Amino acid sequence: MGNKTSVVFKGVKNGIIMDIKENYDFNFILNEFKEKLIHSKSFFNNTRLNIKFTGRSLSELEYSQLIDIINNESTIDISYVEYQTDNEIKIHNKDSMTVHKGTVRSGQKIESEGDIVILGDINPGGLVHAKGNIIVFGNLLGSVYSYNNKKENLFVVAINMNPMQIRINNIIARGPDRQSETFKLKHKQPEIAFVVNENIHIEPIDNKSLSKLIISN
Amino acid sequence: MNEIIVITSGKGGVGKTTSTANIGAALANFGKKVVLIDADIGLRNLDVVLGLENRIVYNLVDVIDGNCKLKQALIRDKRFEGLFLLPAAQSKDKNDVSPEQMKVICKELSEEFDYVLIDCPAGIEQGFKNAIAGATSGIVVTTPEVSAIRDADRIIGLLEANELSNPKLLINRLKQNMVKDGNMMSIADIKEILAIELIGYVPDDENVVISTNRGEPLIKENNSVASQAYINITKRILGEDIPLMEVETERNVFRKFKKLFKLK
Repeated sequence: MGNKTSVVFKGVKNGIIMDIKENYDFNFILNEFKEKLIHSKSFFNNTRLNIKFTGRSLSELEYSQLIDIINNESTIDISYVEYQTDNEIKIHNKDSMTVHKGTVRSGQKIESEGDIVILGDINPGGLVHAKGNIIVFGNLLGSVYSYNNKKENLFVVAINMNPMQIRINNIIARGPDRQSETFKLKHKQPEIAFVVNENIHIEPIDNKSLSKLIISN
Repeated sequence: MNEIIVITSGKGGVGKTTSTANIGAALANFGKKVVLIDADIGLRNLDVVLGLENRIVYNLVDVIDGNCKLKQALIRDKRFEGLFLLPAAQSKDKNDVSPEQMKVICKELSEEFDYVLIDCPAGIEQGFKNAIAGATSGIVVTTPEVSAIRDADRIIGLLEANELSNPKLLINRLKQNMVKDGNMMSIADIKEILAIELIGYVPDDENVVISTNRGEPLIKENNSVASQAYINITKRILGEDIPLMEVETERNVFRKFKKLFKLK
């Protein structure tokens, strides 16, 4: 395995794909990754970029090692990182507000460092963690977790609210138990979930409820 | 390059192998050169469904280990002109094959065959990774059950993460009567959750069990609803625009009579 092909960078429309080949020792990959970045330092030159790791599944530790190298050895300003662990697809967002396009499917986990807007459904088994508000333009059937100690009045909005679980800071609410026919999607009006007196309230969204929350945010 | 289609589901027992066998046989019937790869190493089934188990000499792992040439391991199905099977090994397991090796085999086969169909094992472990490695497109099989649909959703996510975007959906074992009574998910319900293109559905049909036990693809006798459904699916794979079929079961006919006489 002497020839250096363990890491390949590919430019795509809105960022860069870093393809990490399987069957290589991770230390070897780290070294080569570092070399490649130093080599292309002038090319990246302070650009704000989305990064997607493909190929090898990464553990949390391996991921953070790679990100450390990017931060130390290059001038890339990361706005968004996507990578795959053994069983999850993870997205880390450094921006205060993110838009995710597409369905969040079972086993996928989206993490955001701020508010997040999902243009699509969150299917059962899908997870969204955000250090801010979560807005779903679609069916919310999975689990969402909104947490931020510094912010009050966090909320979750969905066009069709049928979640398995909603967590806002340390308060958890779970969906109703399954009865017959719950496999049919119920179409309701858009709803908003927020915390009142240590309980999660869900109510139809209207101007009043929304403006109150947005102002206090 | 010719099409390499992986047929997968996540959950076991939803009809991956049956679908692979029947779509493969139907493609061959339409004059295409087709090879079916059984990627379920250690638990091979496709050869049994096709009734070819007594003719296996070499298998996929033999090819990878270099015990034989790829051509020697292919079994020709005499009933269908142009249909071949690359059987799985029974005495090895999934870790004896790597995704890179599968890619090489798929590529080599796709140069000679119009269609390469890969029968994927259940699960999302090594066997799944091997099966999808060489594929250029995917068909996700599901039954109208909540658990099967959860798994299908997961699989679609994994396929997309592995750059096999736009997989097609095949709904198997649909019972129209139960759907009408509201006791089973309808095609529309499933499509709304999974949000991918439907390539067809197969009604629940006892003939499927009979054909599997006999080791003869359904397509051979062209008179069951399931065989018609597989033929329609195959035509859609070939690029024809075929509308979804309506199934008239006995009970439906009975119902129509009732309606006619205004009995409720």
